[in-house]
Amino acid sequence: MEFESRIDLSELHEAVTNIRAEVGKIIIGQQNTIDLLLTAIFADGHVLLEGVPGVAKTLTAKLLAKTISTNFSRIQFTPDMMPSDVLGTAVYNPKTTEFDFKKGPIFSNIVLIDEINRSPAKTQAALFEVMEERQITNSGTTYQMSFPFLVMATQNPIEQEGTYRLPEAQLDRFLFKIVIKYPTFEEEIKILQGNHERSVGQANNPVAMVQSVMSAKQLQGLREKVRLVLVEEKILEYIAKIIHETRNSKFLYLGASPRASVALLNASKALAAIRGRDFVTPEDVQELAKPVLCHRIILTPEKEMEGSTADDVIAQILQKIEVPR
Amino acid sequence: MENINFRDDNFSQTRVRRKDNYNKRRSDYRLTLIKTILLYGLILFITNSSSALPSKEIYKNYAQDSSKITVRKPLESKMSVLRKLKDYQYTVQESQVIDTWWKRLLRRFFNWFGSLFTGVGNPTFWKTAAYVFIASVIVYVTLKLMGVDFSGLYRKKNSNEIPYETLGENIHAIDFANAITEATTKKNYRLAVRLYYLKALKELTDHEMIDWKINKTNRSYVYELNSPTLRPDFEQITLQFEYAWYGDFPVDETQFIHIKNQFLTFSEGLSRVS
Repeated sequence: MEFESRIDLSELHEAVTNIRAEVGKIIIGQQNTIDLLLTAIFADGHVLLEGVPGVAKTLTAKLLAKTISTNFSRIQFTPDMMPSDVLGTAVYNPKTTEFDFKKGPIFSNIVLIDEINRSPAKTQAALFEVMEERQITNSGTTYQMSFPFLVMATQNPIEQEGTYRLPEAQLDRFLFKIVIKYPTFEEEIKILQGNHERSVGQANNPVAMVQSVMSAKQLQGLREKVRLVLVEEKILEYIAKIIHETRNSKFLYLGASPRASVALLNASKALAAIRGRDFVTPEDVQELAKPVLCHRIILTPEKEMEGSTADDVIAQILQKIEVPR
Repeated sequence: MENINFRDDNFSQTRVRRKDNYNKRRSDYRLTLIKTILLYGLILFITNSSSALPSKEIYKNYAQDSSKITVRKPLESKMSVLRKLKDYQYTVQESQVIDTWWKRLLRRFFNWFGSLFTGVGNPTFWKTAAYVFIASVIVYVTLKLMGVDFSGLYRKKNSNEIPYETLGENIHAIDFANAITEATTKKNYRLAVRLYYLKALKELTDHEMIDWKINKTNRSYVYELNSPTLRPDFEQITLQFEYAWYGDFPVDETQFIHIKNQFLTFSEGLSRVS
């Protein structure tokens, strides 16, 4: 006997399959990263990609943006960057004798902020309003961002000189922090094969090889379906217990915010829909707990000195809480 | 070229300034030395002058005062009056109040405690300090061996205690036969499906095919189950349970019978394998 899904998720399933296929033309492996990026797209959340140089953080983000037929802009954050370089600025127009607002590169649908931690705090702070409220206020006028609006930022965890650590308020605005690791040995060989084949075939621009497979309107419709995904009360309690435990853990100096619990809920709904279910299971919550919480919590100095990471503490918390059954 | 000359001028000026400063400091030092020598000379002169004063022989020719001195004494009556006045009572009177045993104990304790700190040269102080140190080390090591965490000692206790039970439902303590009958009688088929699933987990644990833990998900148990004959059936009943329980799908009698049969088939398969 099989239960029939109450929400038609076939269109979403088709879109996910197509996006995976398009990105998979260039990106080898990184299935988990791509799944999390797709989850973020359907959950309407921003993503922080962290990884050492050369693991295709920027390329993955660019390719994923290409699969959705929307506007895309890339901002390279530098130490001398000002908020107006990102948001835009009022410019005097001699013809009209008035100041016109010249929109910055943030006015796009998918914005890739490369090396976000290279810019000082004041430029990072310029993103607070636009990331949370999808709007920019300049000289008393509020400009709404067009749909969809998604920020994909990258940062390098190794190089610390000349970088500015993202403030907690900024980190909390990212749905996920996805840590991209090195490929496996087999994946590395496939990467080399693919690169060699492309260079022989004179196809040196990998982004041009990827086609758009989803429109903004389609994405809007699919997000509406994701919102309808059912969450049983026990699952809500389970999420609340995890978040509450981060606030009571003796290993944590700072626990997760209510925004984190909402993020975990929305992301779990999106992941359930991607997996073809119209309801959330504890499995979805457990799987997303680390990428949702790892950048929102701060370890105590004692725990940090022991060499523990945020992921270790989250794993301990998950071990402690009973899965609803 | 001008720049080079300018640098040379600067250099020579600096040299001249340094030389002037050196000469000034040297003359100051000489002056101070002369002043010191003069001062010592003056002191020596005064000392020698005092030793050269006229001796007592010089004074014997002067007239001497031979008048009688009368010693006056205060009246005894007046003295006794003054002695009785409070202002002239210099001795401290011991308190006439009787101390309680508690006050005496405290006084003795503080006297003893104060004696410890009468000085670092006091041997009692060092002896006591050594005892305190050894006792602290013993207590610390004992508590550490017992696994007591000290990190929370200096931290403010969080007032928000966890308002929920983290202990899991003990599947070994549930009377499944009665619970399933009761749920089926009440036509609560969704609950009956849950109970059947928990029963399946209990049976797998009893047969040591899975390791039951509260934090494990259903998929974890599916991956954990190594038996190739049981795994597809277990995966199927897991799916049924998830749809009925987490998916909140309504389960009618017909559907329940179908799901129940799947659970029974799994149980039979499990008993055959083991």
